[in-house]
Amino acid sequence: MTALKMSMPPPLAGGAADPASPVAPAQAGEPDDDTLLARAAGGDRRAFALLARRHTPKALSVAQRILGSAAEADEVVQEAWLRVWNKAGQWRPDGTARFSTWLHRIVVNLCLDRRRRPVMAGLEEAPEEEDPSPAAPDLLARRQVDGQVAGALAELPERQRAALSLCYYEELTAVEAGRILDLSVAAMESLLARARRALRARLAARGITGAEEEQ
Amino acid sequence: MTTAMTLDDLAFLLDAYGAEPARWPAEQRAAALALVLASPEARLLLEEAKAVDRLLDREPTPAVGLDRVGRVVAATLAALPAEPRRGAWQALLALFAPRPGWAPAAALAACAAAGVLVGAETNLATTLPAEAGQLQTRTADLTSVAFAPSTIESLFQ
Repeated sequence: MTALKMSMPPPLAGGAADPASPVAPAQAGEPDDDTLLARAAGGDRRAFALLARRHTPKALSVAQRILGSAAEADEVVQEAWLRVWNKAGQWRPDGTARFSTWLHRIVVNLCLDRRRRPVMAGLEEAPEEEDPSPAAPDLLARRQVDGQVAGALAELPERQRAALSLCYYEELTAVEAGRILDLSVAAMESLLARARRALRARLAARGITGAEEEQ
Repeated sequence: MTTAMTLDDLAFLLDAYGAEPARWPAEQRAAALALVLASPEARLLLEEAKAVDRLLDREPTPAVGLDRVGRVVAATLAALPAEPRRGAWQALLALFAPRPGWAPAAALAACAAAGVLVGAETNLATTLPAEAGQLQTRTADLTSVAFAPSTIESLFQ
């Protein structure tokens, strides 16, 4: 199993006010992430629960995009939070590095580890049977294209899929995603470009270009 | 002032970030838009990138509702270790506390010390053969020998 990278992320160039933060900021009156994590490091479960509720939605979304499975995403995020609990005392807030980057680095690495292992899909993950009703030919065609797109995304190398998940779907900057994947901005851009090119080529080979949907 | 952008540069930008200018790095946005306005080839590249975006947008957004978040958080809290977390000073004390691996070593050392004491208190005469009687061995009280006045005096000569 690949060793989990638990090192702290490097300082963020834009500071804590980066608009591409992967999570919503704390509500007014709530302690910030660093304060909650410090309390969690001292054993405060209530602070830990508040921190978890704040960041779990985005973590689930990232994990599910990479893994393609809601159940697996739930497991990965739980495991990530347990690691946060166990390593909370190692976090040293310096005003620039963000907890969310650390959390997403843990989540993404756990996802990549899982993608390297053979996975037995559960019944609940099985694709739904197509509606055979003749009244819905357009719907059928759309579902077929959706399935082809999902299949092409699933076939991408895991790091390319993670890059698309973070930057395209979660709208992180290349700077932020690069910190999570431990890549420079240039390397992150290259990874993103390879992902989109690979997806386009795979779908074009199946006769799907996206141009046919232009309104 | 904006730096001029080539078609190759634009193609890479679109491959990396997609067709939506808001996603492009701010420092490249103006040059890229200028090229799109000026070049039919650039507009074609932009249309191709829009097509890929449309395909990516077909992927459904994961359903992450409050119920699901609540379940995950509750399961995480239930899986936390039961014992309270130690503070820093407790962790420091733990460094010097006896550990399980020390117990056998301590027992062995105690046995060795007991053996030395027993040996030191043993009357050697009882262990010598009778034929060695001429040796006039007295009680071999090693502790008394070690701390005899003559022995101590010899240390200062």
